[in-house]
Amino acid sequence: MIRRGAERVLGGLAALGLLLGLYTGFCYAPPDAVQGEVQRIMYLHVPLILVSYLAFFVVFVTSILYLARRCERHDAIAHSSAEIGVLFTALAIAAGSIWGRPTWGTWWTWDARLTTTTILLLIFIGYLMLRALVDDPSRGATFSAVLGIIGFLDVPIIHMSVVWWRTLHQPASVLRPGPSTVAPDMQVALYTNLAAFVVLYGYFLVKRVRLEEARWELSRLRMEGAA
Amino acid sequence: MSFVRRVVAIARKDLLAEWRDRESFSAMFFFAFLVLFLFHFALGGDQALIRGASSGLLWLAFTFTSVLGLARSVQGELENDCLDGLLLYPAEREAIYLGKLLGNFLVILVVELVIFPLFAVLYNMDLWSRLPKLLLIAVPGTLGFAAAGTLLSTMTAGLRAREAMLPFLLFPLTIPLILSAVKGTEVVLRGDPFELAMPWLKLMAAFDTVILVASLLTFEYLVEE
Amino acid sequence: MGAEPAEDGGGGVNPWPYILAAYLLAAVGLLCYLLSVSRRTKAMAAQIATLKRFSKDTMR
Repeated sequence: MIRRGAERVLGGLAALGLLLGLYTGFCYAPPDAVQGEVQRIMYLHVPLILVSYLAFFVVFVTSILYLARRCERHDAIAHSSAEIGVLFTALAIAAGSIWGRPTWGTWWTWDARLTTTTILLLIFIGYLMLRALVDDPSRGATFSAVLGIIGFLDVPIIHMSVVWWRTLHQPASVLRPGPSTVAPDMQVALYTNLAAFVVLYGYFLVKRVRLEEARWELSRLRMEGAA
Repeated sequence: MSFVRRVVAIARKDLLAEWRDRESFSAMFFFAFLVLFLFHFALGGDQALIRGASSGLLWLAFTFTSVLGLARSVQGELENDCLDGLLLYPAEREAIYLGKLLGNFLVILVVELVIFPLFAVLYNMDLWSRLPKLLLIAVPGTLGFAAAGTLLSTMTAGLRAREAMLPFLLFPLTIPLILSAVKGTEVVLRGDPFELAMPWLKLMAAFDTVILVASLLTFEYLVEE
Repeated sequence: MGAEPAEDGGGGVNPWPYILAAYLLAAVGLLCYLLSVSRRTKAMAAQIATLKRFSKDTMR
């Protein structure tokens, strides 16, 4: 699909972007007025979360395409994107939790966004588990595609329900993690890191899809050998 | 045979099979009873605590019992190769899904209708006078759960870890439903004006619509060879 | 935004261990994943090469 040279360029760009992101996050952007230095974790947490949403959106689209056209490539991209999405979501939750400890005094809070994100993580871990358990590759692809579509469609409903549940339950103390100001140099850091993580996602995706396509080829070879 | 008749025929087949030995229904009933009984011990014998948490406990009992019923429903199909026979039947795949959904929905609803009085007796609550409103909440909740469950159980039926996979896939997806059902039931049990339950009903309606449409569109892919 | 710092001695908490922990965890996680994909790809390539060689041999 993408030649090895282009893959390396993508990797190099990702590394560069991440270094730039680290620089803007730690040197360029000032400490937050209210939260202090701890807020810098947000330059990690927010891009991870946003890119994971992107990853799951890609799963959604490629799942639909796979059901419609039965093209292996779409399944390969769906599986790969789901795996990367789960990784990024898990890391985002961990980073958010670590941020929460000095900020709120707790490792965990049941606020709407964190709860929704965790449910999203559970849904797509289930997606990966389903894949692992179904032996027939094309059956696994079909089942996962359906799960991917339904899982993604469910997320807005989950979010709405959790938000209503929180606000009708605890009106006053809804704390929201996220960038707490719109200071321009902080925005620069945020967008730089966001761009870097998008490129990183792209690099991971290319590598992972290559693996997935190799797997399809292997199963094809095995079937030919058995014939 | 019209579409609706096919749906009803398939549901009837499931329900008749269930009625003949009532195996699934008894298992679900006794499991529900056990769960309700355990609440007493889990909450330290504190009746007031249980009554306060009653809406949540009821729906815990419903969801766990439903999973049992859903799994067994598809299990029967698989064991006797019924699914293949069903696919030979000249019906649209959507009719098969709706038929199974109807069957599952009715079985779960009947179990709920038994659990309500059981809960009322065990924990000394008056549920009888509130039953119509409770059902108003329970029906959309059960429908959505059965819809998602019918779809997912079709996926997990043949898997190695199927007993664990069905709840693991079903519960995260249906959290909005469970959440809304608990909240709506709470409104009814506290005797609050029913308008307070409206947002939750709307949420359940939204969920049910999305899950039904998505399932109808994708079910054929799950059962084709 | 209202996100007040916690009452752990109000502002006396050193943020840097947390920041380091978060970034280090992310770096390790991402790196491990990258290595895992590379390793699996190499293993898959080896298997494919073996199968191809095998079928070429048996076709003679």
